[in-house]
Amino acid sequence: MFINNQKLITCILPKGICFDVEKSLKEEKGILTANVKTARGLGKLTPLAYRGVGEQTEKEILTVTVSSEDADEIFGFIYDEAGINKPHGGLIYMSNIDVVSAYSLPEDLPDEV
Amino acid sequence: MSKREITVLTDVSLITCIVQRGIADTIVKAAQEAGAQGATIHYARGEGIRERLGILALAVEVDKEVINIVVAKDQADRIFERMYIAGNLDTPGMGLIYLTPLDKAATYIPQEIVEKLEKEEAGAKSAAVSNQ
Repeated sequence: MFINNQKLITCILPKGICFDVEKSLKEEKGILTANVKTARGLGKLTPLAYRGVGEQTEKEILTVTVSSEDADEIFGFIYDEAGINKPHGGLIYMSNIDVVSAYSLPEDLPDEV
Repeated sequence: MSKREITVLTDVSLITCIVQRGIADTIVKAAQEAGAQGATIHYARGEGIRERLGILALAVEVDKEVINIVVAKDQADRIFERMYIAGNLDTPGMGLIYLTPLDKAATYIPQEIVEKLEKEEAGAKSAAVSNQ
């Protein structure tokens, strides 16, 4: 019912990347639950700041809970898949959570087409 | 396994601030003046204290803005306080701010900055050895 020893990975990405990252997480790491919300972001070095058309850009925030044992691996996986290591690539961080509820799907559930 | 070496930032904290819609930009400006590098804002709907304040629950906006700012731990208290003051969070119904410690964070860091930090670290280590 409840699982201890979990980590919350949060990733702030430019708009349009999260869907592919979620897909990779599902296909390659078997992670079925991830949440995405839209946001606006601003910083001292946003791409639009140079063009003088404003400093805010659309973002997506991806959150996923993983076990402590897998956390570093998933952190690195998302870092690579999302292309964070490039200018304006976004930000990823990980925090500790005490308890998380277990989430599972029925075994005979067909895949989404 | 990760395909590349990741420069991980430790000693970082996350400041989360929940305020009424339209106030976030003022608070983010104050945070940036206090040293924050950037911010992410998303929208939410908040209930609770709203129903108990003002006439017909109209005094407090139902739409909220949630501000997320990742800051270095040594700057966290200063930025936190500035945001608290900028948002008038000591007034009932204005909002909520909290600080969460992060295990680690990663983002793009220009190579010249990585090299500069490595040099500084190496210099500090050699100074410590020579002092012993």
